[in-house]
Amino acid sequence: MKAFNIIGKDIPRTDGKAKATGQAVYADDIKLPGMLHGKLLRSPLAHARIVNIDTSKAAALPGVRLVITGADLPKVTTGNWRLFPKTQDEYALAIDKVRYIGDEVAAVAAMDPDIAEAAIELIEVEYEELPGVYDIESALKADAPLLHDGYKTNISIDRKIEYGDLDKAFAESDYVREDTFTVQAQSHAYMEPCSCVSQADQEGRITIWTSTQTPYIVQCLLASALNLRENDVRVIKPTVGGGFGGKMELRSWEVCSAFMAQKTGRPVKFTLSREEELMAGRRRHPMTIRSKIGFKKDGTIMAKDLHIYLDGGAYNAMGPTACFLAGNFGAMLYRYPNYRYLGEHVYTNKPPASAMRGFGAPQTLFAAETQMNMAAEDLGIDPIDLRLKKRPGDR
Amino acid sequence: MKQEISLKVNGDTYDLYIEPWRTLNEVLREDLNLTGTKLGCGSGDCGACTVMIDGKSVSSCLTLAVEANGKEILTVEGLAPSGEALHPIQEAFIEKGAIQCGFCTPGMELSALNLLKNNLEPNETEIRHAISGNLCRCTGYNKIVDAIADAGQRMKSQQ
Amino acid sequence: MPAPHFDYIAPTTVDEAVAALVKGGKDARVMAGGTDLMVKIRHRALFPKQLISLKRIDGLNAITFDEKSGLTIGATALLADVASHPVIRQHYPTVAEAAQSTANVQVRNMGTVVGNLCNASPSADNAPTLIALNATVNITGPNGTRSLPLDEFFRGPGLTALESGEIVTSIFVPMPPAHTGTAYISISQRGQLDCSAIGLGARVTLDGDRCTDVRIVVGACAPIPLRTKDAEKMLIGQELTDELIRKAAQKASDETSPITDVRASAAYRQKVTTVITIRALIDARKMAKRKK
Ligand SMILES: Cc1cc2nc3c(=O)[nH]c(=O)nc-3n(C[C@H](O)[C@H](O)[C@H](O)COP(=O)(O)OP(=O)(O)OC[C@H]3O[C@@H](n4cnc5c(N)ncnc54)[C@H](O)[C@@H]3O)c2cc1C
Ligand code: FES
Ligand code: FES
Repeated sequence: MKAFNIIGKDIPRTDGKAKATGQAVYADDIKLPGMLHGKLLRSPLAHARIVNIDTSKAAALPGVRLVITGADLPKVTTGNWRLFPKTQDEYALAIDKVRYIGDEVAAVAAMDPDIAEAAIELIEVEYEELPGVYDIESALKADAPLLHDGYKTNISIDRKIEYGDLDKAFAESDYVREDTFTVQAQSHAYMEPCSCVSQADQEGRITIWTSTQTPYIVQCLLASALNLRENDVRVIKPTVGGGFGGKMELRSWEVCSAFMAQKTGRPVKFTLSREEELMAGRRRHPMTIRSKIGFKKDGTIMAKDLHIYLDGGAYNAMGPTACFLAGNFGAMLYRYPNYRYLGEHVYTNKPPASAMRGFGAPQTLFAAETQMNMAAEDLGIDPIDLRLKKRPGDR
Repeated sequence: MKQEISLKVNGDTYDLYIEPWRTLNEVLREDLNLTGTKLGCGSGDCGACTVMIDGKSVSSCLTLAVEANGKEILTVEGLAPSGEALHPIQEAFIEKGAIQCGFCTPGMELSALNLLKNNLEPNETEIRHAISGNLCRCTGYNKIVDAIADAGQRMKSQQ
Repeated sequence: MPAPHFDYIAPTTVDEAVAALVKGGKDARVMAGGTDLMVKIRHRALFPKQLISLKRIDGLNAITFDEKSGLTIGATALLADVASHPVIRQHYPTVAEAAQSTANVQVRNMGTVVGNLCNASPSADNAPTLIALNATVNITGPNGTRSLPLDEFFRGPGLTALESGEIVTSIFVPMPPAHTGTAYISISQRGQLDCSAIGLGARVTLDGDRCTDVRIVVGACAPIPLRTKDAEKMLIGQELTDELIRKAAQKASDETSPITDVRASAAYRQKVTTVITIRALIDARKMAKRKK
């Protein structure tokens, strides 16, 4: 047998020693001379119009260097799908409206985290509370309050996949069943809370150390958010304490720290608390999954018709990708000769759902596998046999 | 009002003048730049901040620095005997694949030491109990359990 | 809201601590391990202006035992020390088990049994067993010392019978009578780490097969750790058959008034209280029969 250098060998990870000795540097471990500490003011309401924000008392607190609101930042929305600008629906700091409890409204940079936290409390925001929607069903009602302007419903995006002839296949099936499954949200709960430090040079060019899984996305989106050229934004990804899909976007604190570093001429660090992570952090999509499946008596799969509503929370985040992938995963593992998918991504007044390990697969496959078992029982076929059955086209 | 305290951390004595509400975690990370000790929750739930005080593992996020006055503190930076040699626990964690993102690792290693200092041959249940205060979101724990058992063997053979 | 700012003192005698507590009034707080106190402070649920640490008081962490009278656990004795103490494990195994089932290793290396009681959480893991064993609380205050049955110590969630300026110096657990068995069973989502959704402490004293004394104490199912006295009455003087235990367990569950919270629903608590009361009484009966 050929001897390989790598394959079949235990190769210790290259950063193992740094991590085992505590020398590995994570974003919150970074400390730069003159560094300021940032803190975000978050919305206490799930849905409200911002009538007025008064930051004067906060700005006057000794030790506070800068207070900003959405009005201070370039008016640019962000989102991962740059080719579909309409899906980019989130401001770094809210403009006009807040859409979930925890939505970022203002930011403070101060000499130490305690001062920043005290200053946050001094920001006075006048809200006009609006009715909210908290689940798929109420968000889809005809008279439901709408989260975003420019939409006729709370459906932000839909994706379709279709092949074969569904009507014919269901008509030719001996056994058809239709079930609805619901799945709940889930936190990534990475052990390292999000954190970043930005530094600006005299030209306003940014270096940002940030706990991210996707430095290039941060680079290009941060450049657009601050009207910079991409090569004026340098993203350094230090060691990251877990992400699981939850650290794949440009986030509010990254924009605020970079902007505030430009304005103050000093490095600015933001580190979230565990409470912020759990209250306002990204999450896995709750879904309502309606699945119709047809079989021949012998267990041959004829067709599947899948309709999924994704509870996307207040903004798209990476929901459009989840909406698309859920349809792909819905057609996985077995050969479905005829398949139709409609995924609809629904805005609700909750923290945005986004990418999370499997990205649509755990939800759809939970539904698919459960339904397989239910069908197996009705068909009188062992659930394993039903799964292992050769299907036309299988090798 | 600030208070004068003296901490002996990893064998080095630091005389500090600090506010009494500051936690040991803050003082280690911010004042002493010993950032190997992590902060994952700040409420005693995750174990990322675990250090040893006078030979016992504690959560540094719930310990006031003033409470540690005059005590001996061991952090992950003090585990390895030298810049070249690693502690057997660290070796085992690396070799058994018990480290992924590494954020839980410093706390895990100190919880491992807290167990192994009295029991070099713990069984699986004992190991799992010993790390019940340390969350790891990456590994699924099995390799950490293997590493701790292995570390016990390494420490035994060094005795 | 920034973390509250406070002064910190570490007196070296109980009298000094009491004096400081009197002087500090409502703004002062006693701290043992701080594992409850610090979480509340960090979560901005408590804003003390002064913390009075008990940890530097000499001898306050003592655990002493006397065959004739019983066991004394000092105010700063750690949960870990109580859990592993050889004498406690021999004579009061359930007291050690309850301490061991409190929190995780790090918290047990910091927190105390007395702090667990003074915190007066309805779910305090150490309360049911100690109430079942007729423990008393030794208190020192500006007017001297007094002691109180632990059963009368709890007044509501977070509330105790302590008057202002008073400190618990220790808890005393009398030597259980012959043929006594105890058990503590707790149910929680994460096994050890989190506070109990339900805790059940039981003590059974037998004369042959007849039950001469019994305590059933339910944690986390009422505003205080609750002695279910009607259920106890059903058992006293009776032969402890499985049948009777089942009936008494149902009664015990009826006596609780659980609420629904993050740890469990009221309905779950009500149902599981019955189940673990049965188990705890059977375990305690078994131990009582074994014990001389
Ligand atoms: C991660 C975690 C998990 C936990 N899990 C559990 C669990 O599973 N079960 C459980 O029951 N608890 C649990 N707890 C709560 C806590 O750890 C225990 O209640 C512990 O025993 C408290 O003891 P302490 O010495 O730390 O108390 P402290 O925090 O020091 O004090 C608690 C309260 O009692 C008062 N006090 C303390 N000592 C005295 C005294 N001698 N006289 C008068 N007043 C006093 C204080 O003023 C304070 O109000 C957990 C805590 C954490 C952080
Ligand atoms: S940071 Fe201390 S236990 Fe999580
Ligand atoms: S290795 Fe990532 S949390 Fe444990």
